[in-house]
Amino acid sequence: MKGRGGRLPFRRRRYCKFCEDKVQFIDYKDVDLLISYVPERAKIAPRRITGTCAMHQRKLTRAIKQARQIALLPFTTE
Amino acid sequence: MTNTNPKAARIFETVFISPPTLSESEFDSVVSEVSGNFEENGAQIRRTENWGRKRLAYPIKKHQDGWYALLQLEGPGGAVAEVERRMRISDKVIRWQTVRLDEFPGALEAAEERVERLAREAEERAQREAERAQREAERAKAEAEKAAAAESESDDESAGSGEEE
Repeated sequence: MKGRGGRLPFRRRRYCKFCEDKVQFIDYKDVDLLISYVPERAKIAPRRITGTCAMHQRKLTRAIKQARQIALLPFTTE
Repeated sequence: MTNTNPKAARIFETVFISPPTLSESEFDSVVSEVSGNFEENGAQIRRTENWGRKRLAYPIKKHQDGWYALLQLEGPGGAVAEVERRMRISDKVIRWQTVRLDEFPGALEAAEERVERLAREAEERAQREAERAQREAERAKAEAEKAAAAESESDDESAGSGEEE
């Protein structure tokens, strides 16, 4: 595998903020929250960078894609 | 995981966008029109949110911003299908998205919490405004008093110089 990249958002060891707060549902309308997981190119940041756990990453992805549908988040930036 | 009892009403949430070329009052009427559509079809509107004009993350139909509104409703799926059909036809609605709130655990609660959070933030803002307004008033008063004091001093002076002439 390639060497580690990541000077993206934040790099947490094995710390999932959602698990910490025991979040059950990630709202697509919560743009401020979502944006912190979407860096530069508007691509969704991978788990190894953001440190979210698998379950929350899936929910997060769904929410981000939903938000993109109604132009609350971009698909791409240029 | 899906809590689905065919007899129970389902809870949906629809966000839709209207072109920014509409005036505010026109948009308000669109919102009530859509709400009315839902009610006509057997759904009950639980909550309405008007987000006003927002910047779009990407251009839609060549527009860079648009009117946003959120409708939370309770009713049968058929109602949603019908209203969506109408939105598709109308040129007053350029984008919409409907989701189910009873489908995922925690979705409803999240929506409720969000409402509370927004209310709280609005209150805090209002409070801060009130405090700031008060401080302004006090400062203005202090300035006025200072000005008045300065005036009375110069009055004494000018009285003196007037006599010389």
